[in-house]
Amino acid sequence: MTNKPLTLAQVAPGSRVRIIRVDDHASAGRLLAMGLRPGQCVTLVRRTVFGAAYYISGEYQQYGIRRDEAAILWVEYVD
Amino acid sequence: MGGIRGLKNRIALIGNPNSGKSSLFNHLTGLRQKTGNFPGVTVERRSGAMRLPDGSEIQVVDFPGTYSLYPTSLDERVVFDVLSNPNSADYPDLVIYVADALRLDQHLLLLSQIRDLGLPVILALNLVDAADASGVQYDTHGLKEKLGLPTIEVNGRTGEGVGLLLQQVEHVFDGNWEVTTQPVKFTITPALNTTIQEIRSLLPWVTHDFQALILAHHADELTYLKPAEVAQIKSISVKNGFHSLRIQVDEIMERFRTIDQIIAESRKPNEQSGRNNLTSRIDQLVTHIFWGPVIFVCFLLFIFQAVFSWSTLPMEWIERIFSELGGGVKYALGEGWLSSLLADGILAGLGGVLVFIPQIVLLFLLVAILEESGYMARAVYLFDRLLRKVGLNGRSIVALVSGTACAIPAVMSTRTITNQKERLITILVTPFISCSARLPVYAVLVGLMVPAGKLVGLISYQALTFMGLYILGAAAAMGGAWVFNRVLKTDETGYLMMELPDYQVPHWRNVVFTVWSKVASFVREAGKIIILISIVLWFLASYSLPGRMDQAEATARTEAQARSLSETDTKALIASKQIETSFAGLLGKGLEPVIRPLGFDWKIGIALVTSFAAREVFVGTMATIYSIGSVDDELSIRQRMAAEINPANGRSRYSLPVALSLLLFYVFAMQCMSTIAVVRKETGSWKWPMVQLGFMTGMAYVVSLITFQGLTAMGY
Repeated sequence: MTNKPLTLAQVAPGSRVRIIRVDDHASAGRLLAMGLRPGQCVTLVRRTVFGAAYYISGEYQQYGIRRDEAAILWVEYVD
Repeated sequence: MGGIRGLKNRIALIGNPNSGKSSLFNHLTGLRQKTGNFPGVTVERRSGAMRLPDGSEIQVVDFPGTYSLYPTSLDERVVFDVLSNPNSADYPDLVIYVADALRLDQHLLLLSQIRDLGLPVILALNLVDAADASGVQYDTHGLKEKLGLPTIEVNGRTGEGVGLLLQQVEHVFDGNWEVTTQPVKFTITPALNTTIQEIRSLLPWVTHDFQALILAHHADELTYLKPAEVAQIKSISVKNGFHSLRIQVDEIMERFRTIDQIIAESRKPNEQSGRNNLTSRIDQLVTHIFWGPVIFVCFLLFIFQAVFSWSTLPMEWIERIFSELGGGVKYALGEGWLSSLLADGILAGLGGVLVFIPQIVLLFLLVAILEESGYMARAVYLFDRLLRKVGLNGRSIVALVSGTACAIPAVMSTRTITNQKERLITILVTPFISCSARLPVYAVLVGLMVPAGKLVGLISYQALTFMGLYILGAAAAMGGAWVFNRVLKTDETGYLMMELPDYQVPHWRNVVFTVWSKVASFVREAGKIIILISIVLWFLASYSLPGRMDQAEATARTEAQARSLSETDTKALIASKQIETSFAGLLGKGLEPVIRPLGFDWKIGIALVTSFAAREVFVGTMATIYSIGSVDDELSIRQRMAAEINPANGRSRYSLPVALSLLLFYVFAMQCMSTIAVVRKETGSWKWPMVQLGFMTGMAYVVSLITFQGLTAMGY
C-alpha cells in the first residue's frame, strides 16, 4: 500500500478506498450530493469495456460514473 | 399558517431520486392525479388532490427528484426555480420531504437547503423497516429532536404511515406550526454576505439569505427573473468575486459535517450489517463486460416480440370499432360533407391515434418494469461509452428503445439527459428508429418485393428483411448522431454520475400509474395534432377546384357503365378518380417530377403527401387510389400494386428497384407530423424540427435515388 496520492480513476477493480478530497469541478456538487464525498469508503467493483465507466459500491448503494468523473475524486487505500 | 385550507393550498413533494417519492405520491392521491408541464418548461408536473382526515382536499405536486439545489439536469432545475420564487403558482405552503432511512445522511442535504429557504417541512422517513433489515436503526425520537421538525415514518411501497402523515398535514394547516431552528446551517462569510445583502436590497421580495444565494448561483437559469434583474445580479456577483462552483462545494461539505454528526448521534449501534447482497450478485452478471450486453439484447428482443405480437388483437378491435363508428355516422347523417368530415376526417384521425395505444401501453409497461426494477440504470451504465462515441449519452438508450414503439414518447423521455447537446442529438436521431407506424408500410412493400420462402427452411426471408430494416434504422440513428456531434458545438460537459439502485420487484401501483400518465399524455399531446392534420388532409383529399370532383364522378360512372362494373366497384372507381382530381392528387402530380428519379409516380406522390400525417396512412391511401373497397386488405392492395404496369417500359410498376426505393424512403424519411410537433415543443423552436425534417428527408431521397438508379442501371 503506497501513500502516493491517487484518484479513483487510477485504482484497480476490486480496490477498497476512502475518498479524501474532491477537485473543484463542474461534477463535484453532484458527486458530493450523491454521497461520494470525503470520508466515505467505496469499492471499485468493475469497469465497462476500455475502462470507460466505473461501477462503484458505497456503503448502502451503487453508482455508475465515468472515468473522468472518477478522476476528480482523490482517494487512499483502506485495508 | 391560518386555519383555512383547500385546493388553493399547495403541498410540494420533494426528495432525492430513488427516495420512494413517487410511490408515496401515488398513495397520497390515488387516481386523483393528472400530468402536465411546469409553466414555461417541458418538465413533467404530476399533481393530484390529497384528502385530509377531515374530508377537505389539498393540491399536492410531485417535483422531480433532485440531490441538491445545485442540479445538473433540466428536470431538476424546476425545483429551485419554483422554491426560490414565492410568486410561482406552484410555490408550496408546505413541503413533504421524502427521505430514505437507509441513506438518511445523503438525503438530509436537500432537506437542509429547503429549510433555509424558509419553507415549513414535514419529514416523511421512508423505508425504515428496510433500513432496519440492513442493520441501520435510529433513535427516532432523538433524531426528531435534533432535526427539529415533524417526522413521520412511512412505507411508500405498502402505504403504511400515510394516515399519520395526513393527520400531521392537517395539524399543520390548522395552524400548529412552530418555527424551529434549522440545525444544519452553513456559515455565510462576510464576502458572501455583501453579495446576499445587495441582492436582497435589489429584490425586496427576497425574504431569506439562502434564497438570495440561490439567485446568485442560478441567475441565468431562473425563468421568472427579468433580463435586467439577471444582469444586475450578475454584476453584483462579479463585483464581489462570487465563485459559484467553489461556494457550492464548500456549502455542501459544511452541511454534511453537521449532518454526519446528527446521524452519528442518533444511529443505534448495530454490529450486524445485513446488507442485501442480491443486488451485487445480480450485477455480477447484468453489468458483466460480455454478458451484460447479451442480456440487454435479449430484453430488447423480448420487448419487440411483445409489442408486435401481443398488440395485434386489441389493435384490430380498435380499428373495427372506429370503422363501425364511421359507418354508423354515415348511415345516421346520410351522404354529405358533414358526415364525411366526421367519419373520414375526425373519427379516422382519432382512430389513427388510438390504434397505437395497445403498442404504447405494452412498451411503456415493459419499460416501466425495467425502470422500476432498477435494470434500466444498468443499461445506461453499460452503453454510456458506446453512445457517447457518437455524441449521445447512456440515458439516450431509454429513448432509442422507446422509439421502436413511437418517437413521440421517446422524444419526451430525453428530459433526463443533462447535457443539452446530447439531449438535442438524441431528439434529432430518435425518429430514425423504426417505429410501429412504419410496420404496415413495411408489411405491404416487403410482401410485394420479397418471396415468401425460408432461409435454410428456418427463418423467412420476409422476417429477415424486416430485421434488416430495423438494423438500418438504428444504424441511421447512430450515423446521424455522429454527424450532428461533429456539427454542433458546446462547452457543456456531459455526465453519467448516477445511482444504480438496489434491484426490487416492481410495485404494480407505480407501474400502472406511470403507464397511465404516459399514455394519457400521448393521447393529449399527439392526439390534438393528429386530429387537426387529419382534418386538413381530409379536406385536401375530398375537395378540388369547383366542379372538378363532380366531373371526376361523371367520368368514373361512364367508365364503370362501359365496363359494366358492380355497384361496389363503381364506388371504388369514383373514389379513385376523385382522389386523383382532389387537391391531394394535384399535389401528388406536382410532386411527380421531383420523385420520378426515385422511381415514384404521382400515385405514390399522393400517398407521400397523405402519409405525412402518419406513415401508416400510406396503406389506406394506396387502397383508395387503387380503388379497393376495404382498407384493411393488405393482400389485395399488394395484388393490385403488383399488377400495375409502368406504361413507359411495359414492366411491372412495382419492380424491385421501385419497391426497394420506396421501402428505404420510409425507413429514413421523417413522414410524421406528430413527431415534428413534439420536437418543436421539446426544443422550444421550429429550427430543430425543420433541420430534422430536412436531414431525414434529404437522406431518404439520396438513398432512394441511389437504390433506384443503381438497380435500374444493373438491369433489374
